[in-house]
Amino acid sequence: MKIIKDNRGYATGIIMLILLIPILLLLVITIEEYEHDVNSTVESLESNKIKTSTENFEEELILLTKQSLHEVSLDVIGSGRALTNSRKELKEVLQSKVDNATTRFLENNIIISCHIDGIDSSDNPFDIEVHYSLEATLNSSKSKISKKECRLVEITDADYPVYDPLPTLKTGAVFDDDRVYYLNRLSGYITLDAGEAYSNAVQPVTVRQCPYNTYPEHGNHNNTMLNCIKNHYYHNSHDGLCLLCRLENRTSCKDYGFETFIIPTVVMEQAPASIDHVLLNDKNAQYNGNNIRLDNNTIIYLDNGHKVKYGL
Amino acid sequence: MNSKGQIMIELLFYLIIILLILSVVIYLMATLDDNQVTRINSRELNNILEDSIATLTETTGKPSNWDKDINNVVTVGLRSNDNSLISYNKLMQLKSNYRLMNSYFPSGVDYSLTLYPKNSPNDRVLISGSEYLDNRKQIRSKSVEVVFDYDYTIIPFNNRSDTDICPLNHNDTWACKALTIGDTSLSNGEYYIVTDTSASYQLTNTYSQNVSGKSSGVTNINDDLERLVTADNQTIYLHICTKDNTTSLVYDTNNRQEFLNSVIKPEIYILNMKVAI
Repeated sequence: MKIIKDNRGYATGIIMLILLIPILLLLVITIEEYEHDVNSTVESLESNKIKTSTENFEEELILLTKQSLHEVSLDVIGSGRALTNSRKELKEVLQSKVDNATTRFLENNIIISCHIDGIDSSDNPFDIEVHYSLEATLNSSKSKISKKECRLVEITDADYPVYDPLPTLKTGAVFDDDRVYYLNRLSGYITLDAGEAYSNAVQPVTVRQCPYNTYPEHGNHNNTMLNCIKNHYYHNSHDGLCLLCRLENRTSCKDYGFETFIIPTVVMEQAPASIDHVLLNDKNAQYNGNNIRLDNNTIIYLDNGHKVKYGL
Repeated sequence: MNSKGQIMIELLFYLIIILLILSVVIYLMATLDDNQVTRINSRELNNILEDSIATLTETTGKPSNWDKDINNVVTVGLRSNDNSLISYNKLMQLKSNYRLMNSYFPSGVDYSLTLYPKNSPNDRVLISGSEYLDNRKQIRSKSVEVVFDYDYTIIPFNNRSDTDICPLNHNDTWACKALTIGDTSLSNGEYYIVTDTSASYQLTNTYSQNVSGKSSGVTNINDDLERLVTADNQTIYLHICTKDNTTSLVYDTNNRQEFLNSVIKPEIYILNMKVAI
């Protein structure tokens, strides 16, 4: 009995086609599910990568800021030319370093766009505020990090020393190997009678914060005061200039600043007070202090206000 | 072979294959819903597990100091606010309030969060959730290696990166650092010198008084400091001979002396989370 006449193979072809449909369906379902799993895994990996890269970039931003402060302060003290707008110029230097850093991240397919919104002094004169806007994403990824931040960057990192340019800018003192040699320039700059007490004075100019942070402790023992002087530490001061104003060679500063001692070379009964913002101030704002002997070789001159401040 | 017989055999063959495929398709259609639900559940379970453990180990929680005010917790995260380690304070707070994470999981999902030292898996401690996840259709588990921040204040004395001259004019084999210490900090906690071998140390105050000693392992220096500190907020220099040793100053306000060795050699723990439906 001949049930199907299939001399040309039509029936076989049709049956094979019908057989293919469920197989194709199964294939499509399997591929879709697999793709969905892969996509969710990729998304999670991508967002992790962006998060880690952003954290790494922000760490680098801190180092770049320290590097910029080091280079700019070195340039100012070396050239003797003050900045006209330290905030703007530091921002530009940092922005160019940041742009280079983002290019390196781009090699790993991470697109970071960081704009330095501004650089400003902070409540602690030994820190600088860096304001920035950051966007990070991966090539062809939906994940994105977008933030606006302000970070405090310390200016006292020994690996990126920041130099105090004020002595050079005010008096033309000679800078060499992290210290300035005043020769007769400071004594010439001082308008009070006993200015020669500072002839040939030498001052290290790396900004370092004094660890004796309860200042009257300086007066507990001569060794404490001598240790502070040997290290040429800087101290918080309302009257002292902040770093940004020092880079601009200003005489007054609305921010909280710092001050340091300039050690005299000649012993007198009375001489201009050995504080940098007194000696390097406007010539009519200098004032005298009394002789305080710390050891056979070291004396300083301090007015009553600073004597009280340092417990002397 | 005659042609009629061949057609019959071919037809039979096709019929068998069609029946086979139809039964597979019917079976799949019938079980597709179940399978999809199971697969979705399985994926969701995986997502819940991944998200929960990532939230726990990679975030500080919301608010980040939730461990201080347990009544206003939005999200539980165990990461320390100061570094990328796991905060021991937050972990202990979660252990004491083991229901805190219940709202993370949909109803019907059970979970367990346990902790054990990597080199001692039998010392397992339940932190949150149920101890046993019995009679469950599906269970997923994930382990993460963690290191704890015991909320010590740690000042490493390993490298001398600055060029400061210390009050005792020590050379480069010494690391000398100034600390602000007072009666309050002495009464609120304990100062320890923690070293991997042994280290000579000296303490000086701003009156040029000094105390010397030798530390091996963990040494409490509160008594030495009390001899030098006469008021609140005094500058004390700690000088440590760091030649051939790794040494840190540790300030502990939580009375956690038993974990001090982890400052030099951190112990690795395994945080394991299981979720089940």
